[in-house]
Amino acid sequence: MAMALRWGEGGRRDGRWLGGRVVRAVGAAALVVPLLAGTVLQPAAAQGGEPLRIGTIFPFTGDLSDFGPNFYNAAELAVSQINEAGGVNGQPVELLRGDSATSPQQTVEEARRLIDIEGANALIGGVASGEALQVVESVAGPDGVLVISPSATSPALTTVNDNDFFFRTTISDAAQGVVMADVARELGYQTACVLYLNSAYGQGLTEAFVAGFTAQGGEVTNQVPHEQEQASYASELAACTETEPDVLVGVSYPESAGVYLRELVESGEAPALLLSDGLRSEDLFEGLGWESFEGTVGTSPGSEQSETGSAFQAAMEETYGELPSVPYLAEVYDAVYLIALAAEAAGSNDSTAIRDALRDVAADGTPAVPGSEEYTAAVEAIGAGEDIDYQGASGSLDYDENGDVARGAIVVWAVEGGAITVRETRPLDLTAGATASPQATPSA
Amino acid sequence: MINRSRWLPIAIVGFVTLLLVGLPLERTGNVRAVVDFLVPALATMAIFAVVCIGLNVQWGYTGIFNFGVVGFFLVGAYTAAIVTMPPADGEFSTYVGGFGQTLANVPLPGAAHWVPHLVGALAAAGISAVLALLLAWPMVRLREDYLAIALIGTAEVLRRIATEEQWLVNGSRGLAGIPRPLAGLADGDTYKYLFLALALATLALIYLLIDLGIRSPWGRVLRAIREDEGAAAAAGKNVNGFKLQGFVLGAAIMGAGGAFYAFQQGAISPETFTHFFGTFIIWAMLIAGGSGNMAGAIVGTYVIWGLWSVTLQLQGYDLPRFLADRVPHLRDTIIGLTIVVVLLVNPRGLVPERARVSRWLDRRVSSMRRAEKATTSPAAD
Repeated sequence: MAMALRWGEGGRRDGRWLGGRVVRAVGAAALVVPLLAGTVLQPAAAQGGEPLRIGTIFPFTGDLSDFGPNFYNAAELAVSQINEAGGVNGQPVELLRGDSATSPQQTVEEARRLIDIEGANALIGGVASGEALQVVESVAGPDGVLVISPSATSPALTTVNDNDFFFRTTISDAAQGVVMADVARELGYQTACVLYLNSAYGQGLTEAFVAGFTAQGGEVTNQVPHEQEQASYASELAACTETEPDVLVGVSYPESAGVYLRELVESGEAPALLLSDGLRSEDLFEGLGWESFEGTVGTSPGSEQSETGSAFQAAMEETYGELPSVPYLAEVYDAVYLIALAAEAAGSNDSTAIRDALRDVAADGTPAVPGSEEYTAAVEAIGAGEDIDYQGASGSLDYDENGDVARGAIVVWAVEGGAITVRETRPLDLTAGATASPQATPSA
Repeated sequence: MINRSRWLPIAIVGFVTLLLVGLPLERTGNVRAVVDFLVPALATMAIFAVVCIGLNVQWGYTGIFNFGVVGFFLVGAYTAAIVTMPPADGEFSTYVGGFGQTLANVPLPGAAHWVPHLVGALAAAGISAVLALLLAWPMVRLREDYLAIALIGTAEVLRRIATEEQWLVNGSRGLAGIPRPLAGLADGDTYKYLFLALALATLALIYLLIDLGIRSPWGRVLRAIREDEGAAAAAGKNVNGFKLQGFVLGAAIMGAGGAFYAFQQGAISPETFTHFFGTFIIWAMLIAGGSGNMAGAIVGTYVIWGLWSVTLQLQGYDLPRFLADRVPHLRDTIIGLTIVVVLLVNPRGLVPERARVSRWLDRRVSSMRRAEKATTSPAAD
């Protein structure tokens, strides 16, 4: 009570109270309003035209936080090369960053912020399929903003309600499943058991592999799902090994595989192994001992060892000191180039115009590759009215009507002499429905 | 204490508003862009406020320690989605339900715009309530902390079901293409205003209904149980029965909130429904705002979600790389700090619950005070 009286000077508590609040509210408003007015009246940076702004939404926190900073570096590399060559439509490109926190909800918020507040003309993001799905449904489609995902390949994204504003730069994992099946048959395996991570990634890839393998006369003895990062996978392994398959197909991420591969080696009766892209990790084999895995074969998508791809890797190493062992870097890098070239071809930074030009710059025409000088050449070609065909670091990137990559490559790799080497690169053409079912999720 | 409890909410709400409006304005210098940004953010807040009111009914009024909010939120969102969506095409999407088209053909004026969503939202609330009822039988007798543990487990089980059961809700691939309510009545640009209005109207409706219930004798029993179960039982009240009612009602409201979340997002997947996003932050809202009153739940939602989303805008500034990388972590710190400050200054939240039995009693007491004052001398104060 005594404190209540501090504001009032007599016994008229109630009246004084209200008065005091009003006075304080008005005072606060008097402080705030000029502040805001001042910023409104500030002229927006008015130059010749607005620069092209590319928003990125990568996971800097959360489960996929290893990916975010590296993805951002890859995008930054592309932007710096493009700006070195004079930028887009006469202005340097601005790269904006957002953090998806590996959460679909936050990806949507970041998308709104980047578009409404930071003025992004196009977004690169939706790293996991769930993120991409939500950002496409609630931002890209309704608001008409171009979104390119470097790594989400859920089949739901093919037919998603995107008003044709969603594209990807990664090739389908179902395609990888088919190649895995081919490889297994070519190596003469009759029976296979699949041990897969119980996620959209593992599930989709496994479905594709099983369909392909059985279609070619192979027999799948068992399909065993496993959870992430457990202390032991003995029972899952037993479910596979007791069916005595010719080959054990591992579709996982390194932290789980590190455990079950060790258990497998220690059991001493390891069948042959065939591994997915998620296990193409030198750290994994370094930790387990290279010699136990000599000759093990695996597949991975999108990392076509083209000249362009090597050039990109060299540039990454030069700029950032090392080539991070994270997939989908080239896909991020290519997404930046695609947006820049499409904006250049459209002569506009408008999202719809960029989208309309995207398929044109990605297919049929004078080949264009990433790199600073190469970009200048491509811009000159566009200026001369030529049609260009962007050939990226991750693949040739031709788009079908759904905004999915129609042509790409799957790499067959192997453990040989203490390193992962690339045995061959198999180009894929998905345009004519070459593979049975479209994508599954790498769900990075 | 009374003074501090008055200026703190005004100061904090004012500060959050200043950030919410000021930061985007400073970035863009364009009022239109700020409005474009804030309207969906406010709609999100309205949806969270609904969920927070649901938690308030359970914790604030009934004293049930529900640490599995996300479970009911998830069930609501998924139920609304599978009710309003067209039947599954079977190729990349398999789920039960898919009554959207059937419901759109109900012979009512403009049925396609609202009937599926109304049914979806009601079904979401209903299924959540049924789930709560099933859980309540074994659990309502558990003491607070054990109940919290059981409900965390339940939420996790529900999340696993949503991830694994492909036939039920399309598993880890999630559901996309959830139709929007009243979508035909506004074009792309104006729709967000319509949706905001709809979300606010729902919030207002739930607020009024719960307010009515809490001010009734039924609400007084709930609060009596919260304060002292033994005393309430001694007064002849069926404690477990009332707790069950509070729990189920709260769960139904959370389910309705989940339905609107699905309508707003247009796509949901299991990874959205983490414990942090669906449970922790709702609790943070309720604690900061002040449990035991709905104004507190709403103010808390505004403050916590406002700070939560506005911090992201720091990324728009040219910060040094080491700082920029840490902005997301800064948000956790800011939320934590807000809660600590609020609890230090106002342990009962920004808008503390008023100790009031009923309005009738208030009037009686104040008239008695007046009578008392008239008889004592003014100097006695």
